[in-house]
Amino acid sequence: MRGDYEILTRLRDRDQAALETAIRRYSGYVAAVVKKTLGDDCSRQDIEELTSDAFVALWANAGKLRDDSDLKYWLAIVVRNASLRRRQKSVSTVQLEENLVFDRTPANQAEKRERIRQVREAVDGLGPTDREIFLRHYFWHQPVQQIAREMGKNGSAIKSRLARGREKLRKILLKEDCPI
Amino acid sequence: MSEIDKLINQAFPDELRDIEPIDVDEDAILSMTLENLGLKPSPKIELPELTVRPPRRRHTGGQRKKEEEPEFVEVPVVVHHRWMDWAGWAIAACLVLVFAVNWGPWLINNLDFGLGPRSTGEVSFPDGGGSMVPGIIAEDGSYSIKMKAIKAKYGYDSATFTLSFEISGAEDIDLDKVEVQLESNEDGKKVSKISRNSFGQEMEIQLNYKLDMARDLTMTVSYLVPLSVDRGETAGYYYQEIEKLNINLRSGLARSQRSDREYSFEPYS
Repeated sequence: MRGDYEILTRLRDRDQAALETAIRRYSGYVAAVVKKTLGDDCSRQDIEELTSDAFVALWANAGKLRDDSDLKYWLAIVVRNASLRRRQKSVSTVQLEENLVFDRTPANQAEKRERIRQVREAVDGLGPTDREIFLRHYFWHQPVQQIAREMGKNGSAIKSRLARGREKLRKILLKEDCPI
Repeated sequence: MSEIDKLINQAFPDELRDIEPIDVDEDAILSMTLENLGLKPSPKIELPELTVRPPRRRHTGGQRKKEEEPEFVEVPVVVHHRWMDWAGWAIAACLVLVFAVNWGPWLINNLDFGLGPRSTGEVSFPDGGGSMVPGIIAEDGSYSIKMKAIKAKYGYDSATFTLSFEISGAEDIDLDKVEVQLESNEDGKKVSKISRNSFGQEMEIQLNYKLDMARDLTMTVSYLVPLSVDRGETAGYYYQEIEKLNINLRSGLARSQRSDREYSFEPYS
């Protein structure tokens, strides 16, 4: 984003005003990522703490970031990972059966990019509701109960939709990955 | 994190980017962040409170009007430019520069700061070393030179001199610090060196001399010694003359100015 480079440069110079600028600009967005990840279970204090931690990380890592870094996206990833770690003990997601999807890790960047494209196409090929449920569970790691509550659906329905999504994903990816 | 988790994370970047910000207490987050980092909050500029002027009442007595009408408060606007911090120093530096350019040469030439024009002449020393320039002390040390051989080989229009000598002193001699110069007594032209070799405390040096120049030469052997200011700090170096020979090509004699010793070599005929 425009202005990120200036903020980053000043942060590297340990300019406290730049940190304040970054907080004023992105704290609402960073807090929204926390809220989306942790759902209604998190308190206002949790949100503020995790948001603050993201900016502490920004201050500490400003020297390591590339000049063209997208600070908003960087902060989002940092705070999302931190939020997931905080919730890790209490939440379990239904593991995707990785071996059914891919039989080996990508050997190079080109293969990795191709797999990312396949995953995106497979998920985008789901119906809108199934896609949202899939991403809530596997991207945001929201528990089934939270998804059910926030989408106004039954928990069993969410589980069966997730199962359908996994199966559809497996078929699409197997079809592309191992054409017979 | 499994491979498929990583792929899903990277496949949907917009899931993160497209989130709508929510309302948060930015000040609380700021103070919490500064506290975690051990930083102090930046001081805020306190602006004077503006006085709200009540609506003007009409048809009231002059006295009452005076009492109720609030006074205007002029809010001073303080604009501080960064260059102001440096302006004083910049002006002072310019003045010093102008003064130095205009008066510097005069002061150096007329006042004795030890910075005036220096002659290329030698520094005189009392016997046995010691010094001379006020405030500057030469490293104490005496050096002696012993000429071992002077050879002259004459060509069509030039002569090659090979000078061999031994230098000794109170301290170890570094022959790299020895300087030998041969110059014409008439026009002061210096003679180019051809080679220079050292072995132990002996040195052999070859110089080439154009025979169309004068026949009387002066050879000066000097040794580089440090100049120390008081308390042992080195102020620089200078060449201390340790031998000076007058060389006459026609007679084939070289006479030391310091010891009156004579050395002979093949004369030019």
